[in-house]
Amino acid sequence: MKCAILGFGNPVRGDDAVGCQVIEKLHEKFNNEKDHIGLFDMGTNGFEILFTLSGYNKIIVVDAVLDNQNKIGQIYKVPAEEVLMAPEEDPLLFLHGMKWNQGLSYAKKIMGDSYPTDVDAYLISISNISFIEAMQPEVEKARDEVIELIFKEVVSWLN
Amino acid sequence: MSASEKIMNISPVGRVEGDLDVRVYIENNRVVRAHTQAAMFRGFEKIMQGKDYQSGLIVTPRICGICGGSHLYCASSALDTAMQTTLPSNALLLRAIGQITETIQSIPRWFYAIFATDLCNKKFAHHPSYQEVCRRWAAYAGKHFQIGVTASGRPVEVYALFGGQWPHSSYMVPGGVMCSPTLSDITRAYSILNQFRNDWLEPIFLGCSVERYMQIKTWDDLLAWVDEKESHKNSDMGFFIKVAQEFGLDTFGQGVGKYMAFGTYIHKDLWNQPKIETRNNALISPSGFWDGFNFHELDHLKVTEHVKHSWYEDYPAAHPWDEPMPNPLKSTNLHHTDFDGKYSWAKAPRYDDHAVEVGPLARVIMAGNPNNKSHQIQDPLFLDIMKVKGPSVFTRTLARLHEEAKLFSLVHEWLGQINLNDEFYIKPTQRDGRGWGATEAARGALAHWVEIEDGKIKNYQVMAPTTWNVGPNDEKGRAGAIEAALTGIEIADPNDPVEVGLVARSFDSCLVCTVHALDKNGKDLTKFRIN
Repeated sequence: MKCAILGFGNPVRGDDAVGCQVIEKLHEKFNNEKDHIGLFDMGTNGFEILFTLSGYNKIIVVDAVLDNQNKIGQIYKVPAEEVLMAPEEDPLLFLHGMKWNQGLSYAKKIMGDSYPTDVDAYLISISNISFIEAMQPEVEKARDEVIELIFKEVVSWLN
Repeated sequence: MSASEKIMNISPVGRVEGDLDVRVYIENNRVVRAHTQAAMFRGFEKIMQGKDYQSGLIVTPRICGICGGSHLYCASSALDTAMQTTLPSNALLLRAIGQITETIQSIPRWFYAIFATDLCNKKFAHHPSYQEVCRRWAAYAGKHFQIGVTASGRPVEVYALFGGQWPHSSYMVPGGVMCSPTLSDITRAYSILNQFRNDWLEPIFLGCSVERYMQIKTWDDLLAWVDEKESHKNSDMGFFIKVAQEFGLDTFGQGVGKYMAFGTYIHKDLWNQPKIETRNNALISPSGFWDGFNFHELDHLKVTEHVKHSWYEDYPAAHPWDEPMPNPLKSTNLHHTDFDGKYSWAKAPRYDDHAVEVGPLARVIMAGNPNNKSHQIQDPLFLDIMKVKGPSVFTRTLARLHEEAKLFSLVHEWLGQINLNDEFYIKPTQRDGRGWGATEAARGALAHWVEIEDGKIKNYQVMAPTTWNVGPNDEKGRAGAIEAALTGIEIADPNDPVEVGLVARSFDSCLVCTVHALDKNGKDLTKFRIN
């Protein structure tokens, strides 16, 4: 049984670093579980998710989300099915604009039966995506919480 | 504005809503004026200032999730020229292999996942080939859509063999590359590429061998090739040539008519002492400026950026080495923008005072320069196509597709030239200075300018292909490439402006966006709150 954890974001765009930082820190925590855990810093390439799922039974995506409704640092756990978005719903989609939830839509169609059924996303509310290498304290706190949540979830799943 | 004129806003084009807005003014179903508005201050120059001189290697590949390898190619060669390093042949080969595999993957990925699905729009339903277009290229369900998208994952597996990962690797460094491949890595790379050729490139895309396709030299040759065999006619390339003309893609989206390429793929033996002044001669994919009539040798000192219509404090158009740190002004949202004043966060780059188009079409035009050297790509096809057909959405798209066969043959050749017993890195001495590194990302000319002082970055400027293509008007009120290409096109249905999308997509705009606005799509996240 193998689990892939995929962090999306941009380390040089303020709060958007959070997905990549979760992966970086999980490397230390999962040091002895390399055979069962795949950790991927996906950067800003949403499409590439299509080529990363194969061979894994469980997928966890970590990403930032712009969400004006709630406080910065708000954490959501969302079944990927809830946020899947077909690329054709976006009339002017470009490669650079492809989001992971659109990439997943491709994957689901293209992989058929081998598409993993257990796909969840941890999303963290952020607000600052300017070109700086620093996150707001609320986002740092949420990052640490998400790391613990994922660690517990995966350890329990492996056992 | 006349009474019959209608303003249409289309947003978003990029990953984040509002990152790039396209505003077209329509009068009697024709675009009479077009403006592109980059809606986010990027402030990249500020983040780099004062950092360690090597920071560009880590930070710039993060500018873009699609062209990370291209940024790394620029960042490393900018430092090579500033620091006057020595580069082993193996390093030049492995850098070129990284760059070329990123581009080879981008061609099918862009064509199937982004461009061809638009041809299934109901606007084209009355054409005889429409059913077959949908059978092949419809999103998800298209028979070749799936094969092409899946195959596009292969080439960057080769990049990851040498670069450790793709995207966002930092294996190219001043003085060489941080990897030393084994024979099994090279063998594996060949095997991945052969699978790419056998799964898609030859049977689906070309309908013939790569070698046969590369014999095409003129527009008449190309049409004769299509008719030569059923397999050519039925290939996606052959079918696209037919369909694009049937659907009228050769009738709109002309652009500015002037083209510029920085060129790329530096020859393994011609740039071992990296210098800006010897770069043009060392390129395999040639650089240059074509004004519609004549070729001119590229000189990066002729590049300037204008800010008259950009939200920065005014300064006279300047070369990137001489540009002041940007002083951002207050922006306005799309609906309150005065397009006669400042209206975009993008600057307007110009080459030798001309608005130019960059991208695959510029590259294949440069390949037709009769003065190209024997080690450079020599391919007269697109000079002929520009004469016979002229620029359009079709010509621009065909240019991108046409590159695939040649690039595939080049990467095969270079893999065989790696000498596993030779060095891959020669440690350079840190040295202050000014540098310039450039390449061709899949979607066009990309360059980094750096100035190092006391081991720190004094100035770092990145000019991406999209800056050339989506930039606003310049000091003299002249439009950028996409603005020009949109002006004059006919819009059949303003509620479904597929023509605007096709023009913009033919340039493959690359504004980098970073955050997904899932809640904007009607998904209620509240019930999933966990803190």
